[in-house]
Amino acid sequence: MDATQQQSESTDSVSRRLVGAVAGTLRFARDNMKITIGLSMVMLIVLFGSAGPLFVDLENAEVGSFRDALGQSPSAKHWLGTDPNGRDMLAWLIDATPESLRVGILAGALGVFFGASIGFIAGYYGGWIDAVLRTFTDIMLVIPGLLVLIVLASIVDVVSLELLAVVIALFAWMGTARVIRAQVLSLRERQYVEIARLSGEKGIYIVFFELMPNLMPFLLASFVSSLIGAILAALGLEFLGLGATHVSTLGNILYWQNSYNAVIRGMWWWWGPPIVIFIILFSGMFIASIGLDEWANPRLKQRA
Amino acid sequence: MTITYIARRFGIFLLVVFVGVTLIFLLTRLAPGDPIQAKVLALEAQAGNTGGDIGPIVQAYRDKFQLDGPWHVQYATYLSNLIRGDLGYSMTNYPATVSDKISAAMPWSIGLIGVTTILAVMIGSLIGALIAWRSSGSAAYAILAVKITLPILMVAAAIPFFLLGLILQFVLALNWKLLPLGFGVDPGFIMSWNIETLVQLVEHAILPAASIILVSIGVWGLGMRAMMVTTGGEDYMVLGDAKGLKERRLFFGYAVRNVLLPQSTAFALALAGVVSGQVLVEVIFNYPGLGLLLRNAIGESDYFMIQGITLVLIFAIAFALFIMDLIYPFIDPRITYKSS
Repeated sequence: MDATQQQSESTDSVSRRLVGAVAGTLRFARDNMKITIGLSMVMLIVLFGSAGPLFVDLENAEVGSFRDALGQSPSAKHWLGTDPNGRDMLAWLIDATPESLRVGILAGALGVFFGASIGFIAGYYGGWIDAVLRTFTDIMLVIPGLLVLIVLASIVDVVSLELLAVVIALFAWMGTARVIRAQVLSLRERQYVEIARLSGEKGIYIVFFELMPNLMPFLLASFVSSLIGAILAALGLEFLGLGATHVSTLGNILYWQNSYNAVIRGMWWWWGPPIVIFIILFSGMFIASIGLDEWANPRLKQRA
Repeated sequence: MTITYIARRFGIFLLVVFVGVTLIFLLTRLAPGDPIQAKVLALEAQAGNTGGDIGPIVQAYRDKFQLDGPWHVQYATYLSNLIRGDLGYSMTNYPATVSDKISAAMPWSIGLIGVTTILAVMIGSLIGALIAWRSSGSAAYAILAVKITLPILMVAAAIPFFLLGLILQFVLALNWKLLPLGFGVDPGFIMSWNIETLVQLVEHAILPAASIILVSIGVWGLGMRAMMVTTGGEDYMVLGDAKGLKERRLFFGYAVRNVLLPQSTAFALALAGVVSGQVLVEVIFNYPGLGLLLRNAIGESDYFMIQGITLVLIFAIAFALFIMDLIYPFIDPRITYKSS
């Protein structure tokens, strides 16, 4: 089942195309196990963060909530134990998970937006613009973004997660730009684009209404890759004690456990659960992104 | 390998370093606040010396970096300092220069990343190639055993190095006491050229290395598998098979040989991520490389040290890629002729 082809054959109504794309996505998610498994794992974590507050009082995550139970191992009262400052670990985790996801989604979305814009411009206009943008993209790919972010975060007081997301997005667009450029290069020579151009449509119109629908699968796959990169970058910064340090995120929990030498003190309930969340989250996104890549480019699909 | 090929690759190397260096200049100068003044103030406050006059210290720094001049003068000063290899002084360990500190930590990081990368690429590529291989010969069962590892690779490839490092540290070092918890050698151990030192070095490197290798095997394995799948249908494979070539020859000489080049391109793109990941692994294991130096510099707000380490790592990555570019033509002779 080729979703891309289905879309291009659909009629001129934009809304019908949109509906078709959504329906196609759902149908494919059902047919493609990798996407389904991957997304379910991600949803599990989203659910943990969003439904958790219904069962656990998040105020227990504050420092000094349980002065009588400092650094205790898991028990009936504290399912995941407490830290040496009397914070309930389960409440802290539930508090932190949505924040970590939020940074990732914001930065990932911004990254895809930057990348898609650069990819579109490079692929559509070609010539020296393409040469410059492509070289720039390739160079940015080999520069270690996390380290540049560390330099930046060490002098700027990153006050909000939103600012952190914007900064991370500056280093999360290159993959998208490469993929989109390559696709636009091949798409712009197609006949329907040619016809749109001959009938006097403007470049912007062609980009959004003729090219964009065909690029949706690639944009989705890029978004997930960008999301992985963004969450990873935020985690790295936070683990080193940079970024929005006053907000509870999973990376901050790992920073504090490292400062308190939780591993050597045997406090596995401090660092274990965040790692489990990250493993489920990262493997889920990774498996989903492999599935999405195969959907965008069916030639990648392994014969059974 | 022609002179123009080498010159072009060298040009790209310079360009990468230039963009990295410029990016750091722009981002730090565009950011609100004066990093130098802020850092000196913070240091003074930390030392409880707030009453003293820090004006001259700040002014000395401002003069050194021409911060009172227009931006292009600042930029030129910054570039010329870098070209002369002057990364400045450590702000917290004053007489020590950033370059001294980095030179001391560099061998640890390079040793770790060199060994882990070579092992991970070799093991990962072999596993990935075997997973994609359809065998009819005697090795069929062995390959089937490898194929079963695919889901494990998929999960492993997605875990950040240092998270796996935490788990390994807890299980193997703390609970089972098989290996040391961290550090480059035992505290107080004096290194010299003997077997004992070698044993110490290897012992302490196993866990940091394993946390990188186990994850990387997944990454290279999956990449290799994806590319091997596409070679499976190529005409030369069919011809080789029809000619009655031995399976081993077909596998290594025909399939794997042709995937080596795209695999090394993928490696070039992944290197930046691997280096960033290793920084965090070194923090977990207190491994005395650049990563630990960076963490300590962040803790002490030693701005010049942080900037210096990042610049050196960007340079190192660009240089490694340049060397790889020089090796490419040996991996794939067609490269040389792909001029302009």
